[in-house]
Amino acid sequence: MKRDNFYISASVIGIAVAFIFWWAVLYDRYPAAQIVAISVIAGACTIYLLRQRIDDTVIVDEMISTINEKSAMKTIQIFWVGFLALTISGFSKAMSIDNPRIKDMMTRGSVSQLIFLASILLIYAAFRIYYSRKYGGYEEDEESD
Amino acid sequence: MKNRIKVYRAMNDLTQEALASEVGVTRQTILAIEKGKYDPSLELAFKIAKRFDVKIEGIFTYEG
Repeated sequence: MKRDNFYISASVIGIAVAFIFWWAVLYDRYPAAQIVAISVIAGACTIYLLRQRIDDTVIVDEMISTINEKSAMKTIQIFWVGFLALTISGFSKAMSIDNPRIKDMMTRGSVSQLIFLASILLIYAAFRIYYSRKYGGYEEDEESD
Repeated sequence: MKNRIKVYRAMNDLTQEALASEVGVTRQTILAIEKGKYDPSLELAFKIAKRFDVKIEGIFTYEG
């Protein structure tokens, strides 16, 4: 697949997801929200798979890879802490609300976000284990004794 | 890490773009290495040294 074709495909997928989101807002009933979530994940997976099929000659530059890795890591660290602070703040606010319906809705939302944050840690741990094994992080020899 | 890539490029009449293409990186990477802002990987350092037919120590100076 040519790189330009990939960009066109990714744009089409993005527009499709946006339409699904707009439909969900208008439909406003179960399972609209779940369909939006599934479509976003499916769209991201599809774009990722399409990206693997690009066959244009591209230089995988080590400096750019290093820059991307460091940027991604710092972004995730800052985002995780900021999102955690926001979630805890929301949870605290939910506890002080008198209206039981709104309180329940906000509590559920905050708990969902906390589960999401915990999932990020689990995914990070899983990737660390995977790449440690891949690059010999667990290797031992006679000098390890 | 100091290096003499620019010197060797001049000796071999090689542009940054040409050297980058030969060792498989972008021109920006060669530029960053020459300015001392980016330290190349071992593999890249060997490739550059091999291109100029010198030892790594002839091009790169480690200031540890």
